[in-house]
Amino acid sequence: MTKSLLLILLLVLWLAACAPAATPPALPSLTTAPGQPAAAATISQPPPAGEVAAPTATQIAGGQTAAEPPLAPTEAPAAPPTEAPVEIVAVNGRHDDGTFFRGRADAPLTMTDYSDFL
Amino acid sequence: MLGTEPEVLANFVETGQLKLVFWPMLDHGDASLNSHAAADCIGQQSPDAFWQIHDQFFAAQEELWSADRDYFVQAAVGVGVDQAAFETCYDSGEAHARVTEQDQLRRERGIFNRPTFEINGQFLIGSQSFAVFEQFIQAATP
Repeated sequence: MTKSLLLILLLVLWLAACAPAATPPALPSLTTAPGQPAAAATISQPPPAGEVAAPTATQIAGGQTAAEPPLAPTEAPAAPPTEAPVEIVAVNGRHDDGTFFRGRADAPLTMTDYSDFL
Repeated sequence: MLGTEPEVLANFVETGQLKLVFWPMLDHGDASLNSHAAADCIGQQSPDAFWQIHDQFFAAQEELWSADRDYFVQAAVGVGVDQAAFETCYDSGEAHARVTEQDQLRRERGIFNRPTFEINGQFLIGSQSFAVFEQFIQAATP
């Protein structure tokens, strides 16, 4: 009986010695030096066409970069609506009766100026 | 109309609303006849040149009282028309006859006040401000 208990005890000790560690060694925690920002994220996806790529990092003193939140996509400014210019064909001409006119021959109104140069 | 003509041109003629016709009145004898005949000969070569000389003659009214053939030849050359063609026209008397006929027609129409402006049988007499012209033209606008 004593011999059996001794064998069990030895077996337990042996198993305990051969078993791997149950928990990995603790990793060092990530720390940021005081006053230093975290590393900037990078965006590899090109901005969609028609949008303006926002700068993602800004160079700061000491060569460090600071992450900036990406700006909201900006639509390319649309051309302001413009009215087609109304082309007026104002010409100077002469009537069959010999009088001279200024303006469009087919203008809706005709004003006759009876006058003397003197 | 000389003073207000630029405004009338800018606001009504150049916008295509109005055609402005010049009708000669010969109220001052040969001085009127010769100056209108000269303008007619210039316009025969170029309507644009007619309106140039029209503006110049109104601006230099005092000179027209004593203007002679040489004065008109120089005026014609000054607005860029051919001198020989102008002289041929002016010396032929063709233009003098035409402006005399036009003057007779306006007398037959009973137009004796100077200046007189007519739109569709409505008359505006005398030099007027642009505001009056504007009202006159707008009242006739369909």
